[in-house]
Amino acid sequence: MKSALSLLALTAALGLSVAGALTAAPITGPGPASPQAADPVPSTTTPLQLADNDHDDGWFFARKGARHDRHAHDDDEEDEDDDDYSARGCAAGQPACALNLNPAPAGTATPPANGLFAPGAKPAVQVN
Amino acid sequence: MKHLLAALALSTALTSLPALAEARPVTFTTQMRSYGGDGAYLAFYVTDAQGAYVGSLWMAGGKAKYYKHLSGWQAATGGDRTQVDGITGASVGSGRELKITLDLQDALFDAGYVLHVDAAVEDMRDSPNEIVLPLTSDAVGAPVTGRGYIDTLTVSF
Repeated sequence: MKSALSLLALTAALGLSVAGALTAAPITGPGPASPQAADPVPSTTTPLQLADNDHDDGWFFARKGARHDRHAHDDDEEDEDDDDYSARGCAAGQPACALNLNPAPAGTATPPANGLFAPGAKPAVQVN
Repeated sequence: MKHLLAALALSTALTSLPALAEARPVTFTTQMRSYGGDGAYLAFYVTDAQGAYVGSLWMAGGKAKYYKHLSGWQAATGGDRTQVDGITGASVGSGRELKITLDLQDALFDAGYVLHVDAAVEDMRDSPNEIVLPLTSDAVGAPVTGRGYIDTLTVSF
């Protein structure tokens, strides 16, 4: 009996405190704030929205769409992305980047001075 | 005495220069097997008598990201693509023939140098040292059989 009474008292106390809090700070909907309410937030701030019914241009969907587009693009141009690694992702002079650069094709640069080639030699290549 | 020394130095330089500059066009003819895959990447490079890397002669295949599959060349150069700047061409298709002509120093032949050819094909087994050919006068004109993707390699002057 004692425990039932204390449980009842606890429930009543909780109910009163919640009801008190709700009445002390009334929730106003979006729109101009009442002139007598003290508003510490500047009026230019976008009101908080707890739910967004606009599914077309929300952050999540926009991001998802962009991600989907980016993946489609990657699939189409996988090789080109890899080949452009040095141009897009590397700063000049980084050793790791130098390893990912493609070599100069024959005819666009002189062969390396490794002592094997005659000076000024130009390689000739033919594939049949 | 000064003039004598200068003349001696000049004559020494003049007689040694032709030896340094002597070169000849050397043709490497590589006949690929019909292995039924994509184009093969081939690395032609030279080591000395002690097995130390000397330099590259040709790289068939232009994308450096695949060079790691040419494991002999990769180990020798650390993947340094500048080793093949100006001596890089397209990969070689299954059953095709690649003919490269290079002006090479005469001193390369009969001096203990060894030609290595590594081969690699996408989604197929890598084949380092597919060809290992001592660069001697005897090797000229004789086809050498590869152990994977290359049917024969022939060196000719």
